[in-house]
Amino acid sequence: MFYSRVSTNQIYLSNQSSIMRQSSNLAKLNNMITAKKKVVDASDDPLAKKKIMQENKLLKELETYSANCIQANSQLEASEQQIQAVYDSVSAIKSLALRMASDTTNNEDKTNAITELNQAKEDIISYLNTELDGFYIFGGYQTSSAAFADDGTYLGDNNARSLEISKSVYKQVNFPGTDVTEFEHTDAAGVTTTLSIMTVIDNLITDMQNSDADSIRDLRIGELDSAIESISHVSSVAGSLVKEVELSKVINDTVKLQSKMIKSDLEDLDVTTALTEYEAAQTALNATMKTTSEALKMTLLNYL
Amino acid sequence: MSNIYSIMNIGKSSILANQTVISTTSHNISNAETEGYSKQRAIFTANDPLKTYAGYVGQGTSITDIDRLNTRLIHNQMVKNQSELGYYEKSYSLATSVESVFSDATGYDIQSAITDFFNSFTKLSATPDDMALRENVRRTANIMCDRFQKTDSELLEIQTSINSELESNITEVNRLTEQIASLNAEIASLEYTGHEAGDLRDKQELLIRNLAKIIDIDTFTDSKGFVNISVDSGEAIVTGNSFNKLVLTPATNIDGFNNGIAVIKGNEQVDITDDLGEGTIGALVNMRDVTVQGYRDRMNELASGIAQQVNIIHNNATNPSGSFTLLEDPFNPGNALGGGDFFTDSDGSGIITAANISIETAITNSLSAIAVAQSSDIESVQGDNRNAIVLSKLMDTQFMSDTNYDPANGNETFLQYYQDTVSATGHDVLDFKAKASNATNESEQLSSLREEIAGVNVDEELIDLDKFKKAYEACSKIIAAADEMLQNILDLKA
Repeated sequence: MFYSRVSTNQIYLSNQSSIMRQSSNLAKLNNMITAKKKVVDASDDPLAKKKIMQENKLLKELETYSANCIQANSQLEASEQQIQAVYDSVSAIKSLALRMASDTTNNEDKTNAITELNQAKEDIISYLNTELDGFYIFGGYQTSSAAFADDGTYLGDNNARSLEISKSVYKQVNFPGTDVTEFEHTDAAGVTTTLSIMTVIDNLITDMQNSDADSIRDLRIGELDSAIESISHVSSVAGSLVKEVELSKVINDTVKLQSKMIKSDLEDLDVTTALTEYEAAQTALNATMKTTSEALKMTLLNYL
Repeated sequence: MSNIYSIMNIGKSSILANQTVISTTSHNISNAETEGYSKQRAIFTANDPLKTYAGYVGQGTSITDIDRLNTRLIHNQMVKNQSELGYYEKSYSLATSVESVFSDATGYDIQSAITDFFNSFTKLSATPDDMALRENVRRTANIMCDRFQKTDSELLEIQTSINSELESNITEVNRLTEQIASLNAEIASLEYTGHEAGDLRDKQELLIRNLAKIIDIDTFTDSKGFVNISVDSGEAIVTGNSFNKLVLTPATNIDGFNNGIAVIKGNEQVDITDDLGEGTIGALVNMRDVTVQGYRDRMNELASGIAQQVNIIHNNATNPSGSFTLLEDPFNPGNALGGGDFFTDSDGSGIITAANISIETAITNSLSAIAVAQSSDIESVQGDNRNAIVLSKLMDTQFMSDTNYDPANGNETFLQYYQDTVSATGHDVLDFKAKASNATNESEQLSSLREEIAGVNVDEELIDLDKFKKAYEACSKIIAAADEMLQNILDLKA
């Protein structure tokens, strides 16, 4: 009868290699369970590892966008607040101009009005020379010096900065001073010119000093209306930018959540399944150990 | 004619034969655990009979040969398998080391460093003259350089450690070939009688298998019974009772680790570095010169690509003025000075690599040297973030090909290129693991096959021992019977 021979050494070796193989499997499962990750090294799953790295990059980017959203938000809100203040000042000037447009004003009214106008101009300049964290926000790219001189001359440039607040979404975060102070005005003759609110205030003061009620009525009121309209427009642009930034922030958070979920699917371990596998591996190792010890006990020496 | 003395002789020869076979069995039992040992078998042959008038009378038995169970064919397969096993086991273990160099388990790998660096420009674009944000650019740039340098030095460390491992492997090869050659001489002197020198053959075969694990070899047994061995390139390393040593040839590269391997033949050295085939040495050289060097080259391409692209933009960008140092172009008053290079090589070699990438001294010395504006008007530079945005976008531009920095035909971003690199280290590990595991399985199968034929089963030997002991006892009875017969005859005389 044919039988294959088994050497004593073979019994030891095959049992030894089974035990080693199963121990190594058990250790691998143990590591995974401890780390709660199924993909730690690239060799655990090279393709999944690449995707996890892509998600890691995206998550870091989203963190940067979130930081930029906060920055954009604070810069835009500060701008919007000051533009609103300028708007209020110019509206007040218009009321004053309407009052002064009547022929019945006396000298005292006139002096008071001029003082008020000078104060208003000063206020507007100070609103537009607002600093945020030490940087002037209405000077265009010139952030380290005041945007307006005391006489209302604009010292900055006409540049607006864009900021990336979401993947490839750039939003304007500052308004050059001239965006607020300069406006287009079409006069009664239909001629359109670009005027500055500073010049309008200066002219209004001159009109008052000259008691030129006609000029106030026929020219300044109209000019002030155009100014108010223009500032109100800039203010609403700032307001809508604030809302867009807030929306981007929400979108970023949503993408972040999705990315985290994708990453978790790729790398996190299903602990329940892993524990079941661990138990199965443990049982297999126990069985091998038991049969090994039985096999090694068997020798003819026990009987001879 | 048969007589009492010849009966005694039959008893004697049988006793001697059984003693021999018991000693062979004992030898088997005592070597049951000896690696490479083949079970030996004593061959009984009936002695030539004596011719009498009545016919031929048997003359007992003797042992004519002690042979070992032949496993030559399996041995040859094992030699080939050992080279594969040596190659893939070593490749696997080195690939694991390479993989760990690229591990992000610490949370700070090159990918994080690159992402943080480019994102620092995205952050800086919010307020380009914010010192804290500029500091963040410089800090992340330094960390990125540091990570590149660290990765390169860790890969270099693997290459140099491979080299010292090569040295010990070559010493081992020389030790083995010396022993194999001297066994050739011993075996020849023993086998001239026509009997196989079983134990020495076993020993030599084991040495050859051990040698094959280290270096890919071909073996050839000549008519004199000498086992001659040559390496994969065909150079002989064992010829009869002499052997040719292997030696490391001097390194030629700057880091001093690319030593070649040569066979010493008399006064000349034959270089076999490019023709090593499998075995541990083949794996060591291949990993050192191809795999690890390949990853170092990839990191060099990446570091150099990032440095070059950032430098191009930075050179065209202008520096800020404002609250810190005013960098006015001395030849062009009122104009901002161009940024110059951002990255440089720390060793002055003129080529930026992973090992030497560092930031320009101007930036180390002053944060205002970080140029992110486009405006040339010195008054307008401080709030200009346009080049900060351009710099941040470099991260998402495809400057790399599958293999190198190739801005004209690039189809991968810096990070995709890096991710592919990391992924490749994982594939290497898996690939070598699968092949090492196949080779291990085959090795176990071949060992098992060899054990089936030539291994010692102690139980089997114990039964044999008992059997031959009984036979020995029976043979003693023959002598006792002859003795009694002789006594009877002597008693007749008295």
